Amino acid sequence: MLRFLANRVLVAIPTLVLISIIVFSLQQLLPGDPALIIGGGEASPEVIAAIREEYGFNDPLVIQYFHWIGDIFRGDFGVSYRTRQPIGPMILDKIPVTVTLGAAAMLFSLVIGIPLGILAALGKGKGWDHAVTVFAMSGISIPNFWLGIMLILLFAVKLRWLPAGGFVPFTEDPIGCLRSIAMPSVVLGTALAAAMMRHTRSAMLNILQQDYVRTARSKGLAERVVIVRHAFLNALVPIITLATLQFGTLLAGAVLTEQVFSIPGLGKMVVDSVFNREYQAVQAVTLLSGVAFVAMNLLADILYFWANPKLRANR
Amino acid sequence: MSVSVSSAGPGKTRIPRPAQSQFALTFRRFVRNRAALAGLIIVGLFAILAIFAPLIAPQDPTATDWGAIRQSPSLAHLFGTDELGRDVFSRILYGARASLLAGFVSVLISFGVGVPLGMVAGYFGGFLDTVIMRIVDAFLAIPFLILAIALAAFLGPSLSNAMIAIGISFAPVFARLARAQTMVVKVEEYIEAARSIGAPHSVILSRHVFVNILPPLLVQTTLAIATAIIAEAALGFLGLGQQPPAPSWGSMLDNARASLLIAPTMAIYPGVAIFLTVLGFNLLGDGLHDALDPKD
Repeated sequence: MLRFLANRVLVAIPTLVLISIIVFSLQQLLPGDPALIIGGGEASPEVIAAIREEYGFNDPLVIQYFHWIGDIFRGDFGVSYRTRQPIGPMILDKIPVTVTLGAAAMLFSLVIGIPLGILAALGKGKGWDHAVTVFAMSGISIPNFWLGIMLILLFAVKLRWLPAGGFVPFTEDPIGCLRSIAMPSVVLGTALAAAMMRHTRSAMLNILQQDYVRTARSKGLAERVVIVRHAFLNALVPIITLATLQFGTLLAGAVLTEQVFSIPGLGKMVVDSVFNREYQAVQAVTLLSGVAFVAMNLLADILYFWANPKLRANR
Repeated sequence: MSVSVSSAGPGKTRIPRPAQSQFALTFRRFVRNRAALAGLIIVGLFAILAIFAPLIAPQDPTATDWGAIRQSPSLAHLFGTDELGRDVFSRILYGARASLLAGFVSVLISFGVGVPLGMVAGYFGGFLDTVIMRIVDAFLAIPFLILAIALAAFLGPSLSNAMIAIGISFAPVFARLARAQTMVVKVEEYIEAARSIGAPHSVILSRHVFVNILPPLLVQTTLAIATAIIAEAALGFLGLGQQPPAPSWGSMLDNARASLLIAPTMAIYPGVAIFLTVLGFNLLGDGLHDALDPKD
């Protein structure tokens, strides 16, 4: 296990270095002088010079990269040019919000996606299977920001059951928190639920054809036991792996969901930073999302390893 | 899947038809799939609307009318008007142009960048493969839309930059697929044969490998267009796509959100348009996948 883990970590390192180079290089895409863009059109030459100095734009690119990455390793993501607030703590504040939203969306997608996927597999080719397939296809095709607007229209404007936006932390008011993330988590979780449904369906179909399922049936086990204990528990491995790998989709979807519902999380921070020309904050969140994705991949590998006795025996 | 062989009727002697070509078989499987056909019809319909928008649109999509702000649907304005009195129906038609253009151009960029890289990595293997795939992995690690937003932000907001951003963000997916397929194809006998008669790598790659990995790439292309259309709408919604006053479905939704309480119908049509177009491409892609690879 330790060797396996060490190996996975070693493989992840070059990827992490490359992610940081990609994110750093984004800055080179800025049309014209980045100092001018950060300072805005009205900035005086002195201010521009100060910005150049502060951001190290006068140094060679390689030096700039090492400065940048060195600061990040010390937890220094730069200072917001507009508010003079350090970006690191700003991000730390937003993480719990996005994690709460993401976890709720993940829960929604599991609760909806897995049972429907199983039902579709069991009734393959029947009406039920078709209904689930149509639902899954629609879930993948619907733009989540539009779904959000439609839900607001129905549940906040028409019925007045739920708040149209905003976020209440769970620690302050658990009920208020649930009310505030009810619609956003459905919006964020729908595409995920659809993906989960399709994967559960194909994983179950694959496993129901295996010899051990036939054996379980032929020795007279109740169908329920066959499906739950023999088929589903085995299908769970690819499902868990998929759920972990959906992390990126979840984070990207959060950008739009948070925008629609005015939720002050990482996604909204990215969009606000773009329009406030806080490019360092955009870079910081992009970098973090890449690093978090690599970490989740590592977790998926470990889960897969742990759940698969064949791999454990071969280590 | 039963392969139909022409059977001679009783009492008649007919020369058996030659076995159907792969293309004919695939085509028959495709047209028998009702969902795929529905996808094709939806996509075709939106393509026609986009191409003939100037002929179909009753009004100039950017013409404002202060006397007719946020009107409900009527005969004069089929889908009503927006906050500047512009005709929503005309804007939806012209928005189809932006969406489809973005879908095709972004995927063209992804294809053009990703496929050659993936083919070279898969064909030559070794160090080159390691380097290319490490870079591809790093790009794939950054969530697609976040990378697209970051790229669009740094390039500056415009439709063409949004297309570049989406195209680059999606290129790694094509590189991955092209590499995997190339590795399958390169051990085939016809590649070995081509190599043994001294064909240069460039000819083998372009004339033998590329042609044979095209079917799965085609499926991916169709599904990628669906993703790209949603992504373009998302960037437009965030203000990073098509800039006003030019119409795009994403920015129309953003405007509609601002007047949700006063004119709720404004938010319905652009969303339905995005949903149907994306659904069309997804159905088409799934249908192509099933037709090209009936084993699944």
